[in-house]
Amino acid sequence: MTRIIATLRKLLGFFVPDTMLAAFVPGWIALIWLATRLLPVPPAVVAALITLGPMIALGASVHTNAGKIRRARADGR
Amino acid sequence: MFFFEKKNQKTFALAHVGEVRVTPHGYGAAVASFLASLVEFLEALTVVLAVGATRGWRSALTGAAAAVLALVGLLAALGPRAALPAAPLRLAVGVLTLMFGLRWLRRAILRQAGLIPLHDEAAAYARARTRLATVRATAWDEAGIAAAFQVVAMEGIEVVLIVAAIGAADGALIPAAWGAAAALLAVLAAGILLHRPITSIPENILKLGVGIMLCAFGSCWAGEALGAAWPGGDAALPLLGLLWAAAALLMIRAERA
Repeated sequence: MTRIIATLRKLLGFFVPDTMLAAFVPGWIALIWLATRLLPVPPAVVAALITLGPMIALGASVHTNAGKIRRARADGR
Repeated sequence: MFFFEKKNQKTFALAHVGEVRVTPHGYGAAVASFLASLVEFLEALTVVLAVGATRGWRSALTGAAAAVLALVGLLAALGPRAALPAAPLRLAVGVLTLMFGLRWLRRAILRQAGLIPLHDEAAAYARARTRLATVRATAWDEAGIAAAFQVVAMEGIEVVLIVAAIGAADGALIPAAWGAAAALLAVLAAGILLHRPITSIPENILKLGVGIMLCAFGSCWAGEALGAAWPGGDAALPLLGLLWAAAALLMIRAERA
């Protein structure tokens, strides 16, 4: 379980690095907007997507940053 | 007195105060704007006080006043946003607020997890004093005026952006502006009375709280613009706040381990 969480964290951290956090939000919103135009997405699903997407991106960004800081500390930088 | 709406409009009203309605969005906007502006004004006050103590109050006040004038000019240049269509404006504001909130929240989480240093006004004050004390004084104290101008302009622009972002959706600009004005008055009064940086306010916790509120506002407004149905209707905003707070606390805990 721990390994699965660690792998998921690594994957998310890879796809949403810190510098991408600001760019992620408009991109994610644009994707949801497009999806609502093309598909019959229920309003509750839109609400869930709009909250959970940025939340997961934030978690990934925080984790990536934390890793960088820890590595820098370990290297004595 | 916060949020004025006509009775025939669709509202999120919870209560009446005299002839006007006070909405959860209005209260929320005022509180979020007050707290966010308070943090920004405190940071500006620290540097202005350092300039005043090391370079003299004329330089500090000249720089600060020039920055305030520049901000007023900026606001006048931006002009009214009333001509913009409501739905795209709400979406843009939601996205902007969410981006602001995520930035605040990321730094606040890293601070609370002990990965980056906590913001310390006393240390910032000492650093500013040391830096300014090494610059030679001239008849027209460019260094002191520039330092006061820079910090007031920078923090002021952030306040303007925050108030615009928080206040644009659902016409909550007036409560958001009242919140920022109250924060300014509180910080000015404290600065005049104390003449030293205000270190007793838990600024780091405030920053975490503001990040959470901005994220809740941002996701709520962006969602409304995209046609999302929030569970609980009007109660969704505080619930979203709780959700973001829970997520932030989980992240802090995970990164502390």
